[in-house]
Amino acid sequence: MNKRINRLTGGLVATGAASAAILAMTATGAQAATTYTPTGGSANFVGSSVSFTDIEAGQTLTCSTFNLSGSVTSSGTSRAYGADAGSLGTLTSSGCTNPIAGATTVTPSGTWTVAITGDKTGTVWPARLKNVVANVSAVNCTFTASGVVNGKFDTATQKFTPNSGASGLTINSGAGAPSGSMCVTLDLQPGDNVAVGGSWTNTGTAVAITNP
Amino acid sequence: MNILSKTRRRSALVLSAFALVAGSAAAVQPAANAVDPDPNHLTVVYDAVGTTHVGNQVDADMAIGPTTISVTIDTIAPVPTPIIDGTMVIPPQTMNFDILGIPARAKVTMTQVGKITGTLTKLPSPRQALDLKSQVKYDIKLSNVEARVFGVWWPLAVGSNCHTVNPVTINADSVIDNSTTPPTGYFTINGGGTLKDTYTIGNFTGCTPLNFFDIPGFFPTFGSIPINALVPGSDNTLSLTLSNPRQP
Repeated sequence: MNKRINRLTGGLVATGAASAAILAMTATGAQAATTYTPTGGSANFVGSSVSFTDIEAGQTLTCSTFNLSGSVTSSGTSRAYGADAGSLGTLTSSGCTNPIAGATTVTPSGTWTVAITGDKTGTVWPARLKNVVANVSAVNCTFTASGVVNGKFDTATQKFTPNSGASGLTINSGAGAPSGSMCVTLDLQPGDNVAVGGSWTNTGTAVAITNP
Repeated sequence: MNILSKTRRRSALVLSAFALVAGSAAAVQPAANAVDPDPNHLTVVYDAVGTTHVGNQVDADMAIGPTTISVTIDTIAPVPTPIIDGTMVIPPQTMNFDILGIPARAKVTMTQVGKITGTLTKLPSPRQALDLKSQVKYDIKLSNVEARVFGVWWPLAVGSNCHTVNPVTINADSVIDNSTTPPTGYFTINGGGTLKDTYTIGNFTGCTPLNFFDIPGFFPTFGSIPINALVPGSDNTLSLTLSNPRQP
């Protein structure tokens, strides 16, 4: 009886190990590409319903205009996933409001970049806005949010859509940390995660992405 | 001709007096949701609904609202953030109660006197939690007092200006319960919260004692009852829930 149980247990373990090995091989196969090649020229990403939400504080800013313009870097040249595909140096925003505070100022700064970070699914590539910096001012509370915005870029629609939830953007600690007593009352704190809503659609030269 | 002139003069006087009273009322009644142009002031409007329990001999509840409350905070002042202005117009309500076992009802008009003031203090936890403390004064006026005798509502003259000698002070605050994790009872800018108070109603003036002998065929043993024997007291409570914050 005991021998039969041991044999059965051994068989189950062997089957499990084989399944795990197959799964691992499949996963490795899906992640085979490590490089990508962007092709394009000038890019003009027009924002639609772009919003920034401090998740912990529950405060949301929505901007009627939030556009990012630039160009593809070294079009036609292969590069590693995560390396910049393009730079976005012309950043404009206006018409930003908070439901309670009313008009707010969101000033994007620096040169943002964009990168493809992994293999595509259909026409959708995981993508990332990098070097994101935006200064926010409302009701005598000022702070800077910086980091990255993880999302997806669909080459068919030329649309970048941020992932839901924490985007990789956070409120600065140290320089750019929330300043002003209203930041305390509104509970905006250093390190808070920022969710980014809406989308950006490239109305400039279409960007194509290929492997490798 | 003289009679006509006298009548016209009297009508004009009455109209003038009415205009004065109306003007005074308008001056006392704060403008709801007025936009403050000061860039360092932030005005937020909440829906407000609640109830008050009047103690003493009245021992009855009355709805507060639904209405809106507008609060203005000073955004540049140090914490705790001060509430420097605010209004809440309470619609007049009919309050049902008993007078020595006799069903009665009265129109209650609460008119705000002065501004809503207070503070918003950030709590250590949970996130967004605030302790709201506020103070506001209301003049309470009673009118249209009626008693139900023999199945009929009979008016009891209470006078045309029966109101509190001094405005009632209401300190409506968050009631933080730290015995639970996380605490409850706090206020948030984004969601609002419930404010509570136990307040005192002082004496009334300008009131006629409620005279039950005015009711035909009814001869009560208690005669007439002064309002000040029924209403004033310190055991009155208020609960007010604020929600749906927005700009004016």
